[in-house]
Amino acid sequence: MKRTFLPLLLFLAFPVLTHAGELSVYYLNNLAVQYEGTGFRQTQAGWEVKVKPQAGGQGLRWRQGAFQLQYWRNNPHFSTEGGNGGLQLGRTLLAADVALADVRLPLAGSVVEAVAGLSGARFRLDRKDVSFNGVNDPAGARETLTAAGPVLGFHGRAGEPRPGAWTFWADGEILIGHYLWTRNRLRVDGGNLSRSGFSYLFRAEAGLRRGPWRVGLGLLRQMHEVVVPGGRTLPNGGAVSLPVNKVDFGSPFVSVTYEF
Amino acid sequence: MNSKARLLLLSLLMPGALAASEWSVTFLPNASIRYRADGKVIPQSYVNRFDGESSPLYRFEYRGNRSDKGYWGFALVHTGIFGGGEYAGERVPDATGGTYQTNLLNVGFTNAHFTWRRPLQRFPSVEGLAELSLARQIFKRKNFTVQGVDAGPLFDDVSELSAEGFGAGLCGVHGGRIYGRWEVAASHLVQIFDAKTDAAAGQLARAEAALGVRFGNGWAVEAGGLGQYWFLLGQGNRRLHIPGGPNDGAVISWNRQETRASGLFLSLRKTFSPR
Repeated sequence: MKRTFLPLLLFLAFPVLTHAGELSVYYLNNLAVQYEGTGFRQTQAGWEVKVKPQAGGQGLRWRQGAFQLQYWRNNPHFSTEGGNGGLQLGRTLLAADVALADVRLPLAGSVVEAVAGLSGARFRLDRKDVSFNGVNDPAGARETLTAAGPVLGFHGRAGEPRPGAWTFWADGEILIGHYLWTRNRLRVDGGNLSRSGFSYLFRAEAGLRRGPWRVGLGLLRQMHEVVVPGGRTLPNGGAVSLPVNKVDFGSPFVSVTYEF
Repeated sequence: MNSKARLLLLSLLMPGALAASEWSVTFLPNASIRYRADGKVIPQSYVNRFDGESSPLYRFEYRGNRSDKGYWGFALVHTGIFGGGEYAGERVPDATGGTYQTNLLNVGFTNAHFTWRRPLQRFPSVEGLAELSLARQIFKRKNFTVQGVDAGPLFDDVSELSAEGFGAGLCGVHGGRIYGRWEVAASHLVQIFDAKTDAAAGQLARAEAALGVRFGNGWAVEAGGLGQYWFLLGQGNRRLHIPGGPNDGAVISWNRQETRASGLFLSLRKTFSPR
């Protein structure tokens, strides 16, 4: 319940309380998520696991003046995860939550805006039925990755409204982030790289507007690399946390926007 | 004349053709270079322990005449024109906690940034910055000992790693005769030509700040500090056969590497007045 409702309630408080700005709702019908965990562990074998769940996802974006909030998440479910040279197989649920808050200011004489802000990401990996070298461990483990840091980028928009008519509009942004703070739940002394990370977000959409409403189609692509002191192992030798964690996701989407 | 010298000469000759511009030379005499790597070298994974080195670092930069409509720039950052910096110890532990390999390593790099800048409407002294980046690293290793086998002083290796990227940032100059200048930017790196599967190749993030004094005739001198971080992916898994006794080969390429360069700099700037 917490993951489903709390971020949404916090996010929706802003447009509800201020009754200002514009609120966009996104539905990603075919969100392909790819997780790859790699890195050095103090065991003879075990350096890479991958899981690629595919389901839906949602996003929310609220903009008021120069300030914008956005939140993206997937619909998690258990998928097959494998790796470590074919020795490891298991079932993993990956829940991804990404939030950004930034300020956007236009460049002189341009529709393009420079963007600067903060981004945060949380990835939860619930693993069960992990088999390693033929030995199964039904108990599994939960790993949580959290990261936060600054983000820079550009945003552009085209298409002015005309009263009483359907008009074309387009909107897009590219944001590049660097994670200065990372944390994980299953901490050991694994890995050799600094506890940091990086990310990028690309969104492009276009559609029709009339009055305060806009509908659109677009494409979202994100990548997050989170480096933590991972490397925890189950009693059977299976890896349940890795030092270098890369999460990619992308999908076309439909969007509906209301301007207050 | 090699390609690096040609590029440098071309960049120095450009003012003759593009006289409305700003040129600068930045010198870090003692940049600290820190390098960490890990990788999958079958049948197990490895990491390295690098003592860190000091290297001179140079940056040559050109910017077109400042304009509210935007203007182009180019920067070339390089370590080791006059000597290349020092070697420092690198150690690769084995899975039992002992030592698999020791060697000396010098980490060098050449980065190029093609930038486009445009001021913010509300804060004209602050500019948005978009860039195309080329990141190239050179790893020089010598004095290998692998599983107790000494390769001798004449055995060495040079390997390179590169990536291309696009980035965004902000920069600003504030003040009059005495001014402060700052810049932050991050580039997402891809390996368009080298990727076996996934083209995503890492990130290059940089930040700097300086205090400057303007003299007459467009000259300025700055003192400041800069830091750069880049994370690069590579194909890894490559070992070098060491002659002599039996051994599994020296680990000389890694799947993931992270490099940090930082230090204090002096910079000399010359602004040419527009015609």
